[in-house]
Amino acid sequence: MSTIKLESADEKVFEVERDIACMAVTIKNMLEDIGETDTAIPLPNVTSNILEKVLEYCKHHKEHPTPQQDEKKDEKRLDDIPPWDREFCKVDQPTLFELILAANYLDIKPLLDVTCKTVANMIRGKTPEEIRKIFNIKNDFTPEEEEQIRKENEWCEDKGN
Amino acid sequence: MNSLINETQMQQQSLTNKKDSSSSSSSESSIMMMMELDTNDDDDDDTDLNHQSIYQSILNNNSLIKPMVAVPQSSSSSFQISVDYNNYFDESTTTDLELESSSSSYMDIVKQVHLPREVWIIVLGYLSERDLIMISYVDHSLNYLSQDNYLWKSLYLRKWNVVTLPHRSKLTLDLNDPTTHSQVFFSPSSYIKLLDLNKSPYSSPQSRSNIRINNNQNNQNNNNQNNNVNYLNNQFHSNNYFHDSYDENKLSSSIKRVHEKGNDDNVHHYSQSTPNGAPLLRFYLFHWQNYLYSIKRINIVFRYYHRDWVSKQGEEFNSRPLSFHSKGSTWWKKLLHGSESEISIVHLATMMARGWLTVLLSGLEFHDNYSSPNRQHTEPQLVPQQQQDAMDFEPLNGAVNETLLNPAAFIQPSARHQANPESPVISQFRNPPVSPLLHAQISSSEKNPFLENRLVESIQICSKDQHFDLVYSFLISILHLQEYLMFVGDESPSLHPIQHPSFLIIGDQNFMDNHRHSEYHHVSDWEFGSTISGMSPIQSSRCPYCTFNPNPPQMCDKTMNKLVSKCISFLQPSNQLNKQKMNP
Repeated sequence: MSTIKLESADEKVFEVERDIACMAVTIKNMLEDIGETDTAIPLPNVTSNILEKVLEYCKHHKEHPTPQQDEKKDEKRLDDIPPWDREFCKVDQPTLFELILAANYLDIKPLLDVTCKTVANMIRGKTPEEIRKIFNIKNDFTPEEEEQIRKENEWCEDKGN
Repeated sequence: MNSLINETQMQQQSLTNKKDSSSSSSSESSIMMMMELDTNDDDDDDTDLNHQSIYQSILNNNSLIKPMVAVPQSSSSSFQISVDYNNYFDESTTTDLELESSSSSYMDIVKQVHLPREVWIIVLGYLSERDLIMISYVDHSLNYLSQDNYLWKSLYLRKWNVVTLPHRSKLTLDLNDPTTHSQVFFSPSSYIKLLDLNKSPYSSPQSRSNIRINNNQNNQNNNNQNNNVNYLNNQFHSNNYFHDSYDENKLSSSIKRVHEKGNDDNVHHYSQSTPNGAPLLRFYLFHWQNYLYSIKRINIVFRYYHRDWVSKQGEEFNSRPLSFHSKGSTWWKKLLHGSESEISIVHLATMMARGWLTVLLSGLEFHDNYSSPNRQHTEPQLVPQQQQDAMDFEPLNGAVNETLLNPAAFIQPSARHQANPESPVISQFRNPPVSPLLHAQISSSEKNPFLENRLVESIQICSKDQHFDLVYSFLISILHLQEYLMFVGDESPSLHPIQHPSFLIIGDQNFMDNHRHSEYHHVSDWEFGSTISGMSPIQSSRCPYCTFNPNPPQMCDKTMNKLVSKCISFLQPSNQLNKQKMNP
């Protein structure tokens, strides 16, 4: 089993199995482009602790492959996060966001899905004020603008089901 | 009894008003969304760019990265959310407290973690429309994101079960197989056959334009049958279109029913059972408002249909230089007329206005043609008048290339249909109690039964009861209707529900250069007397074949002309008196 080296933003080098690293489509493409190499692949967008988590995720899912579900694109469910993944996402918010960014950068779709679902779960059923608190967003609307949005949303609110 | 009907109708009226106003914003936003759906595919490049630029900024700014590295390490013990996972999502308060207690420096760092737009879209893609609405209140950037097409398109498809037309999946059909052919195709020729007015017992042979169109269609059917089939083979890639024979049967039977009975049963029934006078005018106005409301909706549906399907069909062609729209027009043209000739698209509002006019006015109208002495008297007048009408329509038909049928052709046959033994049901309303003051007028009109019409009678009763607002609204609705009948174009005319006369708005339409004035004239019913004589607001626009200068105005359609002149005569009693003096 061949291994490759990945170098994080803070210059830590991780040696991982090629198959595991190739779960990240970005790395897979890179390896295809450059061929066999001993030099560490630099990942300037990913810090070492995040990369560690990402690799942990990849390793686990390489060993415990999730059964392929029927790809129904329209069916977007929030309650189908596997228990291990759910546990994996129990991190503080910056880490979660970092994980999303890393998954997006490295193009690891299952990790991106699961982290995004976690964020979506945090938003679901919340009031705007609660959402602002969770993500520490400032309300930059003037009262007039809010009234405008309320008008725009009227159609959905009175027919909403 | 009358008052009860009045009350319920008024309530319904006010309800529709409310509905109309509340949903107008909905229609606009849905249009916007529909319009944006098409551009969805093009967005991907932008998001990629956006994404990269954000990374670039992260890369360039080391200060962004370093603190973020430090945080998880230091916070692992103090900021780990210790709440049980399930509670975490159910009880928002705990997390909120948790976050509030966090140190300010921590929050500053959180603030700097920006998810790129495309990632937010993925996150928001898991949410329901209710959550998206909530998101839209949070801040500007999220508000912008929450309106992304990608999110709403899938919600639309899922929630409201919008059927997408499978323009990508091509199924080849064996057209030589007769069963496939009959099942799959709701071809233009069969469509025209259903609409073929020659089949209708009420088609008027006197109407020249009508005959010409039918001949035209027949010829085209014969000549272009093969072309149509070939064309449809290109167009209908999938057998999902119109192949549902149940739908086809239903549609054809309903069209037949309308042809055979002259109108829709319900409207006809209620219009017959509504007493003359104010209730009848209210009934008319109520249905007019419903019509205005529904025409808006239907235009939205067809606009969507046009954009989402016809334009996609256009992509299948190689004729790139053509705009989507012109390709769409070609398609509609072929479907509706089965020909290559230069026919502009019949505006849906026009078609519906014509249908509405046929259904309602003919249902309300009755001619005393069966009472023999008057009939003999009026018959000689009838034919020249109709020919005159056809003449009047000549230039217009040329302008719109025969897509407009002569409304008179619709009214006259169905009016004849009314002149059957069923009519005694209506005729019980013919002698309403009248005050001695107006009795002279009504009896004078009874001497000329050709002008008899339940609407006319209702106008008389209303004017007697001082219901000038109703008469005025009725007049305006006729002017609107006239406008739609003449209006052929790509855009829908601006529709204004008729409300209280003091809020009445008269749309100013310029037909000649197709530019729409944004000026609307607000006319109160008290100003009405002066404006109608001055003709300032109405004069400038509307149907180019209607003249407003003589008083009363001359409409290009005879029946409406009668109604309008009645309206005017009762709104301007002095004029009426003058006329009576002049025409003893």
